[in-house]
Amino acid sequence: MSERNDDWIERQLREDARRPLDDSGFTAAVVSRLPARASSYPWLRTGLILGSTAIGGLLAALLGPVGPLVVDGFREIFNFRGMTPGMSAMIAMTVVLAVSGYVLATED
Amino acid sequence: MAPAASDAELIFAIRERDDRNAFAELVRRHQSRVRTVLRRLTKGDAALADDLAQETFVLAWRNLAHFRFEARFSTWLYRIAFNAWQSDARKRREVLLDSDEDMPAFEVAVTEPGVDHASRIDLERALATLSDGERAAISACYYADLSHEEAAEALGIPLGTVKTHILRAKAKLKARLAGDGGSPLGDRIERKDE
Repeated sequence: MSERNDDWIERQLREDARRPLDDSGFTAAVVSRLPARASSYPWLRTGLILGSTAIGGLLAALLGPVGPLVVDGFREIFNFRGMTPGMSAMIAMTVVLAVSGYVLATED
Repeated sequence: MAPAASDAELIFAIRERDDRNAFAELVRRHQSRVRTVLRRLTKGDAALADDLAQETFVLAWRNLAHFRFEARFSTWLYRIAFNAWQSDARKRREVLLDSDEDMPAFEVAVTEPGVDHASRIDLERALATLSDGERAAISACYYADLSHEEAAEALGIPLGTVKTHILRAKAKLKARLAGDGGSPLGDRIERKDE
């Protein structure tokens, strides 16, 4: 086989690639499948989720049955004297709420 | 008549105003090449290729915010198309882009009638006999018009493998088409060699 033959194969491939395919409703089908318009204010959704997570967490800490333990833990964080059960509960709850809020806020 | 907007201008319009008409224009511009690439990858299965092409454009719409203009829009689009093909093929069976394994298949695609209809069918048949890796490399470099480096990146295989695939694929195509006695393409190759 000659080198010219090689060029000829390349030319055939490129010509085949350039041959236009008629749209035949393809574009309309794609546009009809596009997902719904995204919010113009993506920060609003994130803010609402994180804000309600924080407020919900605060209310749970103050009004829930484990309230005193958590409030004590919160106080102990500011007067750090080593890790206490209340402080551990407070830190664990804060981490769980923060992670949940983050996951919800960043979810598509 | 106002000059046609560039791809970049259309992309900015989509990002800023969620402009679906601008996206439709992008689809119209690129649909032919993307669908052709996918038809060659899927051995001429036009229905599957069009499904994958639709998926490609919908994914492009979803991810347009991540397009950084570091490459041509078409290159980015082909990358999505190759990924869509690979993940679909993985669902059906394992795709081995690094392998030299032959995947004989003789599906004849339904093509539009044209001047070189017979030649095109010969070429499609010959392409369908290549391994997945060889067909992907040929599709990337000749149909998607990517450089060898871009093809390697888009397909996720080493540059050397792309070059090897191209060389082997061309040798196979030549052998196949020249040996295809009685076919218009085979005849022409033989005449060229005289």
